[in-house]
Amino acid sequence: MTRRDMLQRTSLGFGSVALTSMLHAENPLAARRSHFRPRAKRVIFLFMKGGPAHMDTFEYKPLLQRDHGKPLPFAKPKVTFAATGNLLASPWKFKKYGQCGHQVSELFPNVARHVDDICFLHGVHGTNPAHGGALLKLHTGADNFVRPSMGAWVSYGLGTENANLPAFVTICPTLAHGGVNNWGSAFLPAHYAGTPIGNASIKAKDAKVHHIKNPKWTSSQQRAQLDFLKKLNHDNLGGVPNPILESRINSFELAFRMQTAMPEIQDIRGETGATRKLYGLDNAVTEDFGRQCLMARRFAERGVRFVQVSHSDSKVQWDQHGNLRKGHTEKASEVDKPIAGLLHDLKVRGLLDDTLVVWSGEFGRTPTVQGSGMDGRDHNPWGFTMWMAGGGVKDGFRFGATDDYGFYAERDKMHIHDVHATILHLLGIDHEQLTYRYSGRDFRLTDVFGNVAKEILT
Amino acid sequence: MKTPLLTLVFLLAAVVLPGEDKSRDHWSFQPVKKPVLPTVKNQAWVQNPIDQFILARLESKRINPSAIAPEHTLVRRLSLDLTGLPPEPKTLKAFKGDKAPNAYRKLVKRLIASPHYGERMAQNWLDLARFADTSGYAADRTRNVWPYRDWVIRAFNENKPYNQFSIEQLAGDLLPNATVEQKVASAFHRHAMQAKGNNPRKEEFRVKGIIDRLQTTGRAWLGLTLECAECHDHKHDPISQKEYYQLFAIFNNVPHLGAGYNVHGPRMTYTPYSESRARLKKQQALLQSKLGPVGIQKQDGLIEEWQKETHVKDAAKFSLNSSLSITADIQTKAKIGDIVSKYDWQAGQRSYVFGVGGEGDAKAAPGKLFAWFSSDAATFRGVLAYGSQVVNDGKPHHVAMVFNAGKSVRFFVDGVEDPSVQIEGAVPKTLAKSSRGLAIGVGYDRSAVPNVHRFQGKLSNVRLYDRVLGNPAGLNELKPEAIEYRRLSVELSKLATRDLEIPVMAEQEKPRATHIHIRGDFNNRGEVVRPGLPKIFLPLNEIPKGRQMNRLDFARWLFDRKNPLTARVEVNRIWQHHFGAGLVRTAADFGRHGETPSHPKLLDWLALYFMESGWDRKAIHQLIVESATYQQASVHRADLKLADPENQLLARFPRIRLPAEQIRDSALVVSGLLNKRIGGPSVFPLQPPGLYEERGQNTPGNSNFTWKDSTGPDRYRRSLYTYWKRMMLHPVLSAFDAPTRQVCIAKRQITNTPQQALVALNAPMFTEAATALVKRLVKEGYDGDSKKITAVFRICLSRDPDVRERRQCLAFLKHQRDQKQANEWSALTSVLMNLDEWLTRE
Repeated sequence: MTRRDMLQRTSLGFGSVALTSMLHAENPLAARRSHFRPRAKRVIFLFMKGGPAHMDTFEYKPLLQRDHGKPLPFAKPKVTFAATGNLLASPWKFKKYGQCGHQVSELFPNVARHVDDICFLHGVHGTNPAHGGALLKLHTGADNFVRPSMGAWVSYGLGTENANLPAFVTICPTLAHGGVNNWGSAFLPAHYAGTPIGNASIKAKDAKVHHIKNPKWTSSQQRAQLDFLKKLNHDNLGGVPNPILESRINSFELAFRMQTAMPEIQDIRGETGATRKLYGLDNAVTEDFGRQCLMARRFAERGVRFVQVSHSDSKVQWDQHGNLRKGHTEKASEVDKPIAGLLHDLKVRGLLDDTLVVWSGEFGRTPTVQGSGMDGRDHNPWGFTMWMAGGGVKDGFRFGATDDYGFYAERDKMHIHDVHATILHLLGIDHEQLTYRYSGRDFRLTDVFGNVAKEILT
Repeated sequence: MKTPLLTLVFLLAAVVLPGEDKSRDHWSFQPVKKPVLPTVKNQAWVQNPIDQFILARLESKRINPSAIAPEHTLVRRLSLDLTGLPPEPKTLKAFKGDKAPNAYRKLVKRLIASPHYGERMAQNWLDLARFADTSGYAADRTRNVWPYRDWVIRAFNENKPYNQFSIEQLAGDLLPNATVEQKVASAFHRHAMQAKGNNPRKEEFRVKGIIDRLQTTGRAWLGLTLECAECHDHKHDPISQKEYYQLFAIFNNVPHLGAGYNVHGPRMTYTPYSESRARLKKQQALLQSKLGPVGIQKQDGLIEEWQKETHVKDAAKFSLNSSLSITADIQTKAKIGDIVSKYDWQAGQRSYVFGVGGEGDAKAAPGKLFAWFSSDAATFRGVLAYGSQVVNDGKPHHVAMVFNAGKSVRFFVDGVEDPSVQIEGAVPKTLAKSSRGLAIGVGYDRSAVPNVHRFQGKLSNVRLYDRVLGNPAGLNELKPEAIEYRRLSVELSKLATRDLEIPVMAEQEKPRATHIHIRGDFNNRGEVVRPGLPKIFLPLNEIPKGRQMNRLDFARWLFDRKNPLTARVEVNRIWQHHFGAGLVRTAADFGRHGETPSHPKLLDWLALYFMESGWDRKAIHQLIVESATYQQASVHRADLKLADPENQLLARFPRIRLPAEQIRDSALVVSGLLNKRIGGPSVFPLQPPGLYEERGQNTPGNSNFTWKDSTGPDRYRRSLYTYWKRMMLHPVLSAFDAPTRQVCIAKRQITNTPQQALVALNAPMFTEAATALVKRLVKEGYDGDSKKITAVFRICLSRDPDVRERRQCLAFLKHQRDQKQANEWSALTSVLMNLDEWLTRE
């Protein structure tokens, strides 16, 4: 039996009107209306684990270049992750790109060609200077309580556009530093949790959803099992409708459709040579992250609401307390081409209009040097760069800035809560209205904080 | 009728003035009053007073209760509710065959008395206690606190009264002459997550730990969302922020120790199973005198015998290079001491050594036998053997070591072989020559003269043989006493574990000053507050003057008969256990934002019954399951769809999806794989490979952890013994809504996700069970599809298949065979283990 046959058979076998309409009534992931007209229908979040240095990538700091080796002319924060010394100029050259003339370092020559599509946020700041806390803050808005992740809130708010797929997938997520909490649903019902595909220590080409296949049974055998299961379950209905049982039957069917849909999305053999090249699949350095980005596009075009792509393997990727030159060069070379490829691909397919691409680490790095080798930077949650592109944000735009050296966010500051509020806003959700009653209180992604950065909206 | 304006004022008053008199009138703060039993028309239906309350409401709405559920459903319901395990077909058969009028009650009593009752009930309590095997947060390190879990199981099985059960957990350390077990119970409030590793905000996380204690205490005993008053006065309930910090002060006196990465609270060294071990040892001691002479006879192959510490200077003497045996009579309390040594590893002069405690080596257990053999003097090439029996208990013992070159190393204690000697490395075929002379009762350390690891205590009849002894103590092994003695040794070796450092509670002598944290910011300290209770509750009058209220005072106050909440909250949870929802549906919130009780008088009646019974939980369970309300059928009824869509009136029994543990445990039961052992260290059942491989999960200095799938019987233990890793719960458990236990959970979510279907159909553990079930059918002698179908329905669903089901099973098997698919029977059993009826308690 071919896949096409299977799909047809599935839809026929399950096609009774009653059950289909039930799917919506009983399916907590059914697509829902937003609070107001959305500018983006979905999010692709490119997460750079470890904390890329903003002053070495996207925020050029001329005074830092000038004052290399001098002491920071103002106080460092009281609590820092590690001790740092004097100012360390960026080892990389910056160049103006595009019509907007935004300066990008030579670490990102390919992404640089897309500056006219990007909205840089240079005044972002968080609260926690350690990886675990900062990851949780970024993904859930809280670093000391267990809270639903951003993707879970989005799938709770909007549901999925594709009845064969979950609303929130996370490709090769890191299991460290908060691990599952970074894509978990906490007190939101479990439907809204992210579906992990592999994890950070698994190559993207081997990443799979757990238990998606059973090596013991063939596809047709599993189909036969499901048909048999459905018959037995139906016999037990006893004439009186039982919504819970109906929704269980639906779950099994959705699982089976996922069994078909997931491998199909992950099977990129149908992509042209040009597309594969665009994402860097022809190169050993970029192949792994490129495949993740390509998968993200494939999920996005099939209606998954929130796709997270993590740049992380078995190490804390961008965390160069030492070996900055080597480390950042290596990491950037792995992601630069794939990210540029993704932006280009989304654009030519017309997806960038209603897809919001977000690029960020859990924090940035200090302009002051760490270690004696003059080749390292410490964690910096007090000011760093994040960027967005696509659905509803101004292109070729920059918003906010850190101080002259890049230590603290200074102008047009955006706290992580503001970033969350803005992302929800772009999706058509009022962050103050998206609440869930738990333990006697209405909870939000933004807790009691969050302002939408209206300035960056188109 | 009120004017709209008045209504508005009324509403505003309720919203704007929390903590004022209005909120004090809330139902749950009123004393528990004895209600009058309502009268009902259908007296015949009533089994006990519960039914009067339920039926009175139904009759007032003109709704009939449902008929009694079929026998197989009842037995299944009771068995799953009270023990967490589905019934075996023989249980059902016995029940059906029992025509006594009290057959049902007998079954109830038997199930409540089952040791598995404690396991099932502990499962709920461990959610409240947020019990887990790891510390949570990013580091998520192992914490050895499973003896607390076993304490909970035992407490349920012994039916420890709820007041005692609670007081020991909240303040076991403060009880006069606290026992070891009471201190273990106090681990309850050390289960809060603990940030470790790279965290510069230690004080903040210490404070978060106390906030968690308050949240947990509030949810578990008071049914109040105390945490709402952390940053400001409670918006709905009469608890001011100041009162919150007065409660905070009660829990704020636990020492916080350590520096750097290793911050922690108080710990206690705990020897697991010390009581059981002592009991077994006593039985052994009684047998010992009957064993007959041990080690008196000399046997063939004896080379030499010594009676005291000796140094044989001639190194060539006793330079054995093949099989040998050593026996000795010892009596010692020392942890370390060599019996015979020709082994100086520091000087590269290795040959053989036998003694107690492994010369202090990290792998060796103090007080237990060890022996090392090397075929190379300079570099270790050989075997390390470590015994499992404690021999330094100060009593006389005959010990023996038998080295069978190239084959084995065995230990014997009092003539009985140690059944679990731990062997590392390959047993060498030959032994190296050592330039050290044989030393008796002393060992070597880089010196030609032995002067370390001296044997302290009595050492005599040290005999060296140059051959393998089969029965080194010359014991009459056929004697029943010897057989029993060996059995006890095997039991003892099963209980042998290392000592644990368990996190427990302790109180600082000088209480910490507690401040109000302005807006909940631990750095923004306001007014100093003293420990105390919120005004809404009665004042405490038993605290002696001159000291502050402490945890013990607080724990005792919870069980003051005038406290309106504790009993209501617990009986409500017991109700929730059986009916899926409590009489108050918000089990952790009895405040004004929680739901009001569906049957307030029944709740009070139960609460009062509970207190009057001496806080007897088994009594409440029995009362509930013996009610007619509980015994109703669960079939959906068309007439109830509009009249009572949420089934709050209970005109039928609710069908409830089983908790994760019961789904996995049921698969283990029907497949015959279940290992029913109770308690012990947590186990590592099969899960998909690669879940923890990432750095940061398994490197030393971080969580220091690798998931090694348990092999052997530990793979099939009940799910509550699964290593509960907060940041990555076992996928079978998390798929079916088992909480990560990062925080206190009073009611689990029940979701229905496609992931569940993928897990139940495809997780290796379920496939394994489906296959084992087919083997079980063969083993139990069922042949032919038809007989097998009947048997498998009885095993999995406790009933016979009906005609249609049988036909469908046969059709499925035929279809599989026609398609030339292999494993058609396990494909069928796998489907049965996914049926709604299987996943649901009906």
